[in-house]
Amino acid sequence: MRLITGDECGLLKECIPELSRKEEDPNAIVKPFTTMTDVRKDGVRRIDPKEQQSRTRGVIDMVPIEMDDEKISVAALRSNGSIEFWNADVKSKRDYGKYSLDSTVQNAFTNIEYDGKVRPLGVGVFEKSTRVCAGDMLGNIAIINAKKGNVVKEYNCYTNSKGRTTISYTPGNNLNTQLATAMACDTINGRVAIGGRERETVLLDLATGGIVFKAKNLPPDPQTLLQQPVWPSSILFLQDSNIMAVGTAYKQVRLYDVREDSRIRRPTACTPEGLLEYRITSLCQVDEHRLVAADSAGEIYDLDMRTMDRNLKRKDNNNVGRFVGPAGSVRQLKKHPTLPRMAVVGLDRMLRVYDTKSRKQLDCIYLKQRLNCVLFGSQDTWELGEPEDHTMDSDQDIDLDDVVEDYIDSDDEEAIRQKHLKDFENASASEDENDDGSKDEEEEDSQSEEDDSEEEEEEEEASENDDASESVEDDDEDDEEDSESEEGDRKRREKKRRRVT
Amino acid sequence: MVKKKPDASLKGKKPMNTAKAGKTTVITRNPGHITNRLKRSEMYGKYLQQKRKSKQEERKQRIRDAEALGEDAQVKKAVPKTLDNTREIEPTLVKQDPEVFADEADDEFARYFQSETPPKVLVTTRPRPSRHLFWFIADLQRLIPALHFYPRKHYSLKEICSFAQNRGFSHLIVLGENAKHCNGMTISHLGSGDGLVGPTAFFKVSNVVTSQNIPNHGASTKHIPELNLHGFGTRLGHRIGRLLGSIFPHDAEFVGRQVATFHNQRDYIFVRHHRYVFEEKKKNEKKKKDDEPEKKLELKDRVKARLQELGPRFTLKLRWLQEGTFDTQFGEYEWIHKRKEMDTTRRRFHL
Repeated sequence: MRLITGDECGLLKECIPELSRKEEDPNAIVKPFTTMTDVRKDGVRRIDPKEQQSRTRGVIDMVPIEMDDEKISVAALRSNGSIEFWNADVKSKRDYGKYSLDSTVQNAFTNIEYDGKVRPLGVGVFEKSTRVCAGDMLGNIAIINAKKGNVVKEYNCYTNSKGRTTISYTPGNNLNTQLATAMACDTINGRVAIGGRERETVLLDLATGGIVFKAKNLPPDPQTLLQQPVWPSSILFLQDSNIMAVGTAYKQVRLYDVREDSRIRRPTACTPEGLLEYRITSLCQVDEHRLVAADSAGEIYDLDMRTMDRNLKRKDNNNVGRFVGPAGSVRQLKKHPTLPRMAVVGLDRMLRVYDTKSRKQLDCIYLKQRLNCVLFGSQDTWELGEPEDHTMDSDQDIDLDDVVEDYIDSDDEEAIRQKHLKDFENASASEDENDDGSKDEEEEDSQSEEDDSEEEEEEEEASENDDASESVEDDDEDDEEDSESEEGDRKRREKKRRRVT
Repeated sequence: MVKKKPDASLKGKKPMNTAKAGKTTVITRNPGHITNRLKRSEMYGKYLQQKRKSKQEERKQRIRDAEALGEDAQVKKAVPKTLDNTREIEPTLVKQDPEVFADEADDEFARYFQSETPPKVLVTTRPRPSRHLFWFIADLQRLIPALHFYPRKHYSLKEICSFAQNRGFSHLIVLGENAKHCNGMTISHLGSGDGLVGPTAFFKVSNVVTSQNIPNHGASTKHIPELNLHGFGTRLGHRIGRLLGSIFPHDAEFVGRQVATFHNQRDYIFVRHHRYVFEEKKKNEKKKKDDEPEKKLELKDRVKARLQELGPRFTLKLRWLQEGTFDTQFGEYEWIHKRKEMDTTRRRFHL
């Protein structure tokens, strides 16, 4: 597996968890997953080893433009508003990719100087990977041509509806930096969702820049008549792209129906009050009906979308699975395109990879900075050199032939046993008569005699079989086998007898 | 075959498996997995006996070896295993890493460590504090230069953060209390104007001893103390250490000979305030032997430092570290102590 992470100091790193796994000793006592002794440091490499580390160049978000087995193309959005396009050649499945910087867009959001407080929100790809959209905290959306690397259009989602509103930013004033706190891009339909503090999520159509959908809040609390507070802190478009999941800072996850013609603007499902404990920072869809939500204290919840809106008092709603591990806020969750693997990246400086079905932590890699975003490469296999054979060596017995006992049909068992008794009597009788000499001839004679008798018996058997079970088709074959086996048995028994006497 | 009759003395007893009679099973594993209490206690007793026996035998062997070698015997001092020795390897331990240095050169506290901006600290308490807390605050004022006290009244912490920022304070310390003992301390970095607004850390405070209660204590002066941050190893430790260090101005006045120590051991941070004095050892007037020349002592043997404790004495333990100013509702935690997940072994320390 290949993972690309971006951190707040501006470093992009490529991680390959297989290279940094401790070599498993089959006799080792399995240690708890939180210990990381002997982690080899080979698994991590900087994409650009010469770049300067500084917080103004911190990576905010990354999005894959092209992802297949041979080539990866990534757009990274930085804290100073610049977008970099990186290309990598990843043909070899045993080595790190060779990365090269394609182009940079210096300031995607023109007119704004980025200081530490206003910052870009996120990137997304749409229109069949030709366009990249980037959003920032003031609600500006810039659309960039991915190939040429220039800003094509710019919209603002809050000033479009009424022509008169303008948003101005005064440095030092913290209030207007929370106009937009979450962004998600709908790749298929070319829409972008933006939400902020006390501002519900708004869907913009990227071709025209007009508002397509404006989410509506839940009805006010019936007893106090107070409005439910709203603060979307993480937005995700689900795979079928008709449902949008919004995680709020008020510890809720809401699902909205965002089809083109949908008239329902209220959320279709919300998690109940006490289910989640902290502000939701990231969402990820892991299955057809499972959503993973992570919050700002490192708790990662595995929610089933069909049942998540049930009341907490119901007994069957207590089974909210958790992915255990992070000690700090989780900044991003990403799922591998094909494998059941999920990558978790956060403020505790660790990259963790989980198995989505069993919820177990598979890898935990220490990356030295606080991480902001992560991406999976599309490879699912990795060649680690010569695989070590931990299987037991049972090759000693290969030369011995397996002793296979001949198959005797249960119907014929009785008859065969009697036949053997007869043979035994005959053989003993023949031995008594002739001590040495031409035993073979006698055997042949006796065999021929017995063959005749056998044939008679077989005919009898056959008739019996026919009477007994009409549907037995393999009679002839069985008889042949029986005769062979009988002969074989007889020969063996005679051999034994010869040895004995 | 005639069966052997068992011994008359064995009458009534079960026949023994003679193959096993001579051997005793060596219990290598702590028999905690046996669920039957009687059996478990019995096996545990045997286990301890065997352990003791093997230790004695090892000791005897060591003595025998030493006697055999005679004068050449190298005394191998056995190093006892302590929790600090056998600490679990933390991957986040900082080891001369240029990435980490570059990160720290850029972070919220770099300005204070480079003496670009002087810190200005605001201390306040919980609403309606007790008398004991005021004595502690008075001690803190002697420890931390540029400390200003404001009464809490009824304001919420978020409000206090914004008031402090308006008045140019760089740090905020809030003391919590229960039953006349200080039990919590929140240190929040409010930012130095243009710079980054830094993290908030919450510590559990214990063993508070005010200066009056310290035997042979001294009175501190207004000189800026030197800073001693010791034992902060991991990335988290570095961050906390820098947070604590940024409270002090970094142009120490060595004339005052005062030192503020933050010593981290096993996740507990011990805070001490001392005055030091260097003293030289006087030469020995007696000579042991006339032939032996007088040894010239090295500097470290010749000069010793004596300490006099000043100021408060308390211990801190980190509970959580959060991004941004105090905002437990919507803030992001960089590190939060989760007892069930993190306290799985005794040998794991986070700072």
